[in-house]
Amino acid sequence: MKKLALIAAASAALFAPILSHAESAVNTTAVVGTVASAKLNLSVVIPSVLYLAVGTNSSFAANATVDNVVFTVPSTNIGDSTVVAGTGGDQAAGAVTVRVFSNVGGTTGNVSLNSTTTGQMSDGAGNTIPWTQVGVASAALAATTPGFTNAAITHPAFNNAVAGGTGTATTLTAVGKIVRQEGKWTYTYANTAAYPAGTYGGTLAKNGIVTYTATAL
Amino acid sequence: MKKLALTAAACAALLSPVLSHAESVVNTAAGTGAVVNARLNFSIVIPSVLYLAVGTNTSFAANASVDNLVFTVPATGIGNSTAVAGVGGDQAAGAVTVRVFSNVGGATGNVSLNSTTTGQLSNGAGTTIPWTQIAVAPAALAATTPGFTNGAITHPTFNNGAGGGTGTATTLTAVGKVVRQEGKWTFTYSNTTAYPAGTYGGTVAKNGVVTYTATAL
Repeated sequence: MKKLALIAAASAALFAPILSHAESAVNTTAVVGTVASAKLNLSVVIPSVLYLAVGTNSSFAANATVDNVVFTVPSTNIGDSTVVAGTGGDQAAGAVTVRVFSNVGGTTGNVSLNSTTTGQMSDGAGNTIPWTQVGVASAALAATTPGFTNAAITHPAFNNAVAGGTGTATTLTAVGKIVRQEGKWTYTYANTAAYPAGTYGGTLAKNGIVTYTATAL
Repeated sequence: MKKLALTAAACAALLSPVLSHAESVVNTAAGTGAVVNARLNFSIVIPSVLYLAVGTNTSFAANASVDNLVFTVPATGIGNSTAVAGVGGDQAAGAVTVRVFSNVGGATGNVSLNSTTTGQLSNGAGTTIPWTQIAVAPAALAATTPGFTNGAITHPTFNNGAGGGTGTATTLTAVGKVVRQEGKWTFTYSNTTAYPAGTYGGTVAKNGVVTYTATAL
């Protein structure tokens, strides 16, 4: 009898690895009310994404296009305070899309949005136009991207120092540690002062390029 | 007398295995029309089995391994309502086998199938994803196990309470007091909301493990 039991145990040990698979349960002496249980382990992986678009963009993908916004002052209105609309920008007439996404998390999940200039706009001949001459109107986009809050996003004021620098940051407040905000910035030239003829900015060398940064807080 | 009785008992015990044979009857004075009878007594022993498998399995074998189903959201699609298929599971792409056998009997022979969660899927940092984001599509398996009914088995809805708990039980109806049903559950992540980056669930501590139970009614 003892020998039989040993043979049975050896057989079970022999077959056990063959039968070794994901969870299943069997009860061979079950009665009414007996419970057999099996488990599954589920996980959802959410990648960490910080996304900023200003102007022409591809949703959640890098796009190397830098939009050009050009203000051409009419020859009859130089410095007469008649605001000059721009051309260019993906929203036309000197307006651009602003879109920020962040699920990076952190303590608040908020995002800091800022602008950086490299100096006042220059004509390359010693004359400059201060960034205070460029006005920015914030508004919602005509169409809302699903899931995004579409509204005016405060523009981070330009740094108008001679050597440029970072501007005045705007904080985008997270909801549930997620920032999904979009809007439109429409740029205009205030035209309150008369400047010598020329093209001011338009290149990096002439300080025409503003860099916007989104920082996950 | 007592000694005699003991000796007789010992002899009976000694001889009984030797004399243990099937019934035979002999009539040594048989005439025309004489009848002798010999009987055999048959019995079939059916073990009482309650079996549940969720995931990779070999029928009627217990195994402690637990399948992992992982849903990785694309960086370009966080919260955009595009359902995310899983990986893992013995049926591939986040699908698992479900197989139930019960011959326990009882009043109906039916089996109650349920799921138990321990809370919403957590990232371990205070943010959770509700189980309502996990959808389950029941269907038949590609191949039918002989003797089993292969069809869609209603998934017992997850308990989405903050503290978890048992879900909404499904009853598997017995035929002749026997349940032999199998099918497939395909899990997907609904992705209707943006969540902070991280891995939600995946461990018991982060509430990723669901326990399924089959109860013989």
